[in-house]
Amino acid sequence: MTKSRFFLTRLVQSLITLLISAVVIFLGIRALPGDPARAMAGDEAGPAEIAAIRADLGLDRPLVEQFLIFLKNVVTLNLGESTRTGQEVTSMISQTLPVTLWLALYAVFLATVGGIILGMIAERHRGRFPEFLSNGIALLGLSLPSFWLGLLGIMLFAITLGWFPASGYVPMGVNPLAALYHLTMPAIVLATALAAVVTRQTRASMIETMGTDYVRFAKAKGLSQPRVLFKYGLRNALIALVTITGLQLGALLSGAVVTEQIFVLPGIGSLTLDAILARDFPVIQAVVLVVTVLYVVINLLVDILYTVINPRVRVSA
Amino acid sequence: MYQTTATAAAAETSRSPFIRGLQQLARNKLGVIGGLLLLLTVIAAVGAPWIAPHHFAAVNFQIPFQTPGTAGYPLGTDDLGRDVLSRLLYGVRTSLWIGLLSVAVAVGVGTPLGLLAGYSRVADAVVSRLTDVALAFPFLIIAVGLAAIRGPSLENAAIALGIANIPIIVRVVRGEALRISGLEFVQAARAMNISQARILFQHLLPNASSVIIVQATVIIPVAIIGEAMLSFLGLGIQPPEPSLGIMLADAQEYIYRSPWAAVWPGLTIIVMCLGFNMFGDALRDALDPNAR
Repeated sequence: MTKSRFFLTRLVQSLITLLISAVVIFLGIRALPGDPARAMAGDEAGPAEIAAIRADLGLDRPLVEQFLIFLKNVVTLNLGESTRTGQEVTSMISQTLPVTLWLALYAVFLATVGGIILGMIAERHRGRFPEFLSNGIALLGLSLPSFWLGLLGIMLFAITLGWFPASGYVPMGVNPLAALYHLTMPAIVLATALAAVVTRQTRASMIETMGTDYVRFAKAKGLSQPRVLFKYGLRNALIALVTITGLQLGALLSGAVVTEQIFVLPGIGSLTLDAILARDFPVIQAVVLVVTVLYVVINLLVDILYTVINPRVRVSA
Repeated sequence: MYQTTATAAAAETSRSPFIRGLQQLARNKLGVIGGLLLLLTVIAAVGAPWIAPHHFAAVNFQIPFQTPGTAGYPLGTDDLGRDVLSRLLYGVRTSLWIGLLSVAVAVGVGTPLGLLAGYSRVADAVVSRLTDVALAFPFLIIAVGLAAIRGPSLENAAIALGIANIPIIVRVVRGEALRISGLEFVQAARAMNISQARILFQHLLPNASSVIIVQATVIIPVAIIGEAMLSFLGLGIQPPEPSLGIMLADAQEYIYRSPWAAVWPGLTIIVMCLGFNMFGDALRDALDPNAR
């Protein structure tokens, strides 16, 4: 299979995934308790008024037709208004999404760099204390709830030492340095679980690669240690890492919700929680849609990136 | 001398792979420590009603925010004067129960799907798309959806965590099924015209069981942390039912007055999850043929 054919197949697969997800969300919204028309009409409305609202919302049409209307609205970004604030859902999302994306990006950066360093240390010092330490940190990272680390971090670094703010957010466009400063503690908290996964993965693939014949040959040829380590070892480790990070995205987004809650960041997570408490269904629906699309698109990009950094990738459906 | 070593070696190989796995497990120090932590967890969970000095919801407004070491309240009391130790023990019970329930959901749904996907190409395409869809919904989103439709509860939290972990089970079981279905004994079974269902469940399943068990030990700590997260956000277990996540949420409100309240539930979660992860790692080394 050629590369372009592979990309096409992945694209079609992604579209199918999105379509099925849209069906799930559409049916999920209809499974919600309560009649939206009745809720919108208020307590004193008569049957005629409710029927009028039903017709207005398209709720009296066949399910398939309703689904097509739903799809059209989604594609044209016509996501309705929040029942809580009356604001356009699209603008609420576009205000909160950058906060979450910056937080997630920062966390992925910290987790990858930290995890690769820890993983490489473990491989370099096999059977000795540094490996033991690195393994222990990774094990701990997998075993602790990150939001608990957030609570402890606030107690220690914000309340006691005053090094970092306990809450607050500065937009990246206003002051990038202040933005990074405010996001540092949340990003570290969000990064722990991913860093643990990256550490373990890096260690495992480095050990595997450094034992192969071609690496031994490169060493025998007299190539410098760092060159062998980075050009042969790390490059191979990166290939597996890209996939793992793509798959961890769901966990990362879940973690972002609770991290935003602890550090009072105005991101998608806080929006979701407020929406749930107020039973603000248009917002909940929009958030679920955005997260799903993000996940599918990022994983598609990951797969494309994968074939780019790994020229000998086995291209198969 | 030669003879005794030879017989010892023969005895070693003649034992079943399961026994050899157990012996290997017993030699793994981290695995043994993990096993002990697990034992501790199970004792706390099962024995909570007998060990706990107080009822988890017994309020005493006379003595809120007692520090650890108070007579009758070894780990102190919370904002309502409830015994922290008793609440921890019952919290462990809830955590373990959620962990087991979500593994049951993930394994119960994921195993047949994974077996099918590894055995038939047509099923593989369908199952792959379904797992893609499942992966596209982070567990918190599934939990949010279920909480919105059915109201937040222990069962819904467990179902959400279970669904989110189905793709992991499908992937490892599919890999095992692919590997095993290429082996001679399965081809022989096919040649003998044994029914598909029987090949799947009688031949593929027992051989895939060790990877399923190993994955289960990975999923349980993830589910325990997930439950704490959901309950912390108010989307999981509802008070007065005890949960470590709820204890952390309460502790956040009184973090200035009583920092200890935030420390204990976190440490408890770590002990439980370390137990599962360490034991799981050792189990993987001992049982998983791919990891050897």
